[in-house]
Amino acid sequence: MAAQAGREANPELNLMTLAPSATGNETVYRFKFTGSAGEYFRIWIVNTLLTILTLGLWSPWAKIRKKKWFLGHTWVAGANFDYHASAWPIFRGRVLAAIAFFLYWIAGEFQPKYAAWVALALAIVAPILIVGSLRFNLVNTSYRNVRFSSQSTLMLALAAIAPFILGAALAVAFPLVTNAGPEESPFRSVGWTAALSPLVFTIFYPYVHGKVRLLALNHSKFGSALIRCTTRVKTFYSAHIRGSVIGMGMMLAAGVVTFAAGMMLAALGASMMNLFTRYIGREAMVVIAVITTLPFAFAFLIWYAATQTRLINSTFNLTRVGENVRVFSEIRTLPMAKLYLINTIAILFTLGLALPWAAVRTARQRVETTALAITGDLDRVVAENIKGYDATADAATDFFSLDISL
Amino acid sequence: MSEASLGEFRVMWLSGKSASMEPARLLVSNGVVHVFAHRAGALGNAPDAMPTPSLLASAPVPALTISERLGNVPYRISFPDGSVAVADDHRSVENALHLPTAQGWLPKLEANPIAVAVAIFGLIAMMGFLYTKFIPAFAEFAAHRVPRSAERKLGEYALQGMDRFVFNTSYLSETQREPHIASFKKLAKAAGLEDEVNLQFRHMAPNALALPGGTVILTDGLVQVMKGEERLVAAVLAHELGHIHHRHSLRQIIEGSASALLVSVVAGDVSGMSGLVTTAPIVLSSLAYTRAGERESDQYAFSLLRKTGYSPNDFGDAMQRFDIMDRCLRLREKDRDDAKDAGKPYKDWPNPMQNDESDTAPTSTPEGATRRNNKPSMRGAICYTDPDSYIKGREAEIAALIGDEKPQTGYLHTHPVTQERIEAARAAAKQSS
Repeated sequence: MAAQAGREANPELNLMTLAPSATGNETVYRFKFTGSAGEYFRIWIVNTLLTILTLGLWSPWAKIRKKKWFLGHTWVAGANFDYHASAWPIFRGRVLAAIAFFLYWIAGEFQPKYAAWVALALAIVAPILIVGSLRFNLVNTSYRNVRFSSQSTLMLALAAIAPFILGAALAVAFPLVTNAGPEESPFRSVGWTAALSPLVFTIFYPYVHGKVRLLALNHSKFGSALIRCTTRVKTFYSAHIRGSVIGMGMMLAAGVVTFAAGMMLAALGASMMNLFTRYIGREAMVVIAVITTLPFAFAFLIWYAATQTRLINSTFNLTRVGENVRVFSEIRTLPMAKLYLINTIAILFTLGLALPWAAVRTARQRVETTALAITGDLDRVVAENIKGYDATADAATDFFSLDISL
Repeated sequence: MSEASLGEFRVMWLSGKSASMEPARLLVSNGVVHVFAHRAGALGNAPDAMPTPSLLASAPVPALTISERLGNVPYRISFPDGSVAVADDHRSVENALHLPTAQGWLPKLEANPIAVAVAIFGLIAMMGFLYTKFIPAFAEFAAHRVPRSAERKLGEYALQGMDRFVFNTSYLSETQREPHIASFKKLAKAAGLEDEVNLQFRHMAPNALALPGGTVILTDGLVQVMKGEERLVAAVLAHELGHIHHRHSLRQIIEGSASALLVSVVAGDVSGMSGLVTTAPIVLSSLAYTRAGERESDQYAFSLLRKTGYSPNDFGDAMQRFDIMDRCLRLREKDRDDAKDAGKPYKDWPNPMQNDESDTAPTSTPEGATRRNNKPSMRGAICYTDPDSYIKGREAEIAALIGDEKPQTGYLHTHPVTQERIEAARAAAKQSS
């Protein structure tokens, strides 16, 4: 009971990993992932080959099959999830998205002067894509034969993306490149106005990240049950700042390690260093360069994982489904960093054949660090009539790599 | 069929009206399916332990929708009223409902070890084919169908950027430029590109560039290294015309985008790895495409040189000049390191890229508008102006520096190694004589 009071009274506690604990009449159910890498490998290799052989035409079917497999192996409280999208709407959506992406690519590659305008156009369209994709994916996901749905609106998405629209508009207003006369170079000398756009993007990044994530967590429904997340945007700032501090600390440590190694070599004598560069050869120097960047790569991984885990925990731990379901999340930085490191090495050394294995390991870690505490049962959650949504926006988010995943 | 029509297995029944679930048993008899509640304790109890079983759903088999087999994901048997029975005992479901072990061609392929083995080799072979054959061929096909005018903006933009940040105005006088302009015109005419291309001079370290849209840049450094010899510069210009003829800049854009697209098809839906995984294949393949483009331009240059009264040997000689410059630079790096070791002050270290105090200052001033504050830092650098005399008599030192191993073109090179290009030129010259 004390833990419960602490959790409700002190929101900061929810930022940490939180072991699921039942209070009152609650029962704790841990999420479980039951898929195996060998099983997924067969599905992955067959569908990936089909996608390539058909020059991408098979990709909607492959996407559905992979999604159905991951959700079908995700279990909690005795039931698994399911994915219901059908392939032809996704196919139509992808064709439209591909045409839009091709025009975007042409504009970006061949008219570099207008790249800022293209980015502005994408920022303006982004809210439509984000809301459309959220609706499509939630409506097509079910648990216990009850569908999810999204109540997010275009206005909410616009409010979330607004700073990026401002940032893109600033890049258009203060370009690095002008329409100068033929004698004059169109490249401006870089003044302080050029820093405005990147500044806006940096300052508002946690805000946009938080708002987009909350768009999914705070405006969704499971059947008749409202899903609510009370995490504040402030928390996203603290998580990103904390992550950056940890990351920079790690970078500094990596720098010290590399510097110390360099000093040790230097202590052997400057001539030793020369011998090194002269007789080892340039190829070996490349290998040495790679080795010296490894501490930095590891530091970057810790930076990423520290921010990610804190954000996952702090949002899920403040999420409720309906009246009687609380979510718990206890994903940790070091296990996540370790998983990513091993995945990367395995994929590189198997020329990509370890990709499905890595995907299963990642899914298992994400799923099994989550739990629900349910009071009573879910009988009170009633299925609602839902309408289908167009798949175009979702297909577009795939092409333009807008990441709105949870 | 009729005698085997009785089947029974346990399921989880989901009404579809609320999020409740009900352990149940599914019975198939005479082509009709019944789902009975199974409330007596845990799953797997004997059916006779049940209190009066209540019927949850029933439907004839043809009215059911049974999910396609997907790995070990439980079957979902959907009833016309919207309820679903989830069954994880695949064998029982397949027996009771007379499903083939894996219905549908896709689950059959996924379940078949031979098909999976074939898919592994098929995927590897297909990726190899796409990267080495299809993408370059497609890029070439597409690039030749894009009008040059579409590229021109890109080239103008690149040149304006480099003028702002990299190049200085050329120091070459009209008389120094004339022979190269003349040979460029001759080569362009023979190549059928005279309306497409133009030659411009800039001040920079030895290099020549072919920009999208047909502009060729010749740097002062290159003219210096070739000692202004017309036939050597012409050989390099012929190589640059090869880039323009084959539309290499446009092809590289298409090849880069295509290989990024291919990587995203294979690895796009996998998270949980470093970006290294997706960038490595793109970088390595684009380097391979660049090297292939260089070889192609070399071959183009050989035939163009033959057609215009030069010889592939001129290209070999030009590459030889580069090789000598390279050796000189390596030697000067060593001299700098030696000076450092000897504790000499920084100003006395010979900088491989800069002129010595004793070297002559530039004699001519740049014409036209200078876009940057001109610092003739590279002008007169000994390895550009007179590498031969610098390395003279120091062959042993150079051999120790470079080693006696023959340089091999590697995966991380943008160009084939110079030695390989010289040999190709000599071979082409031998062929034509």
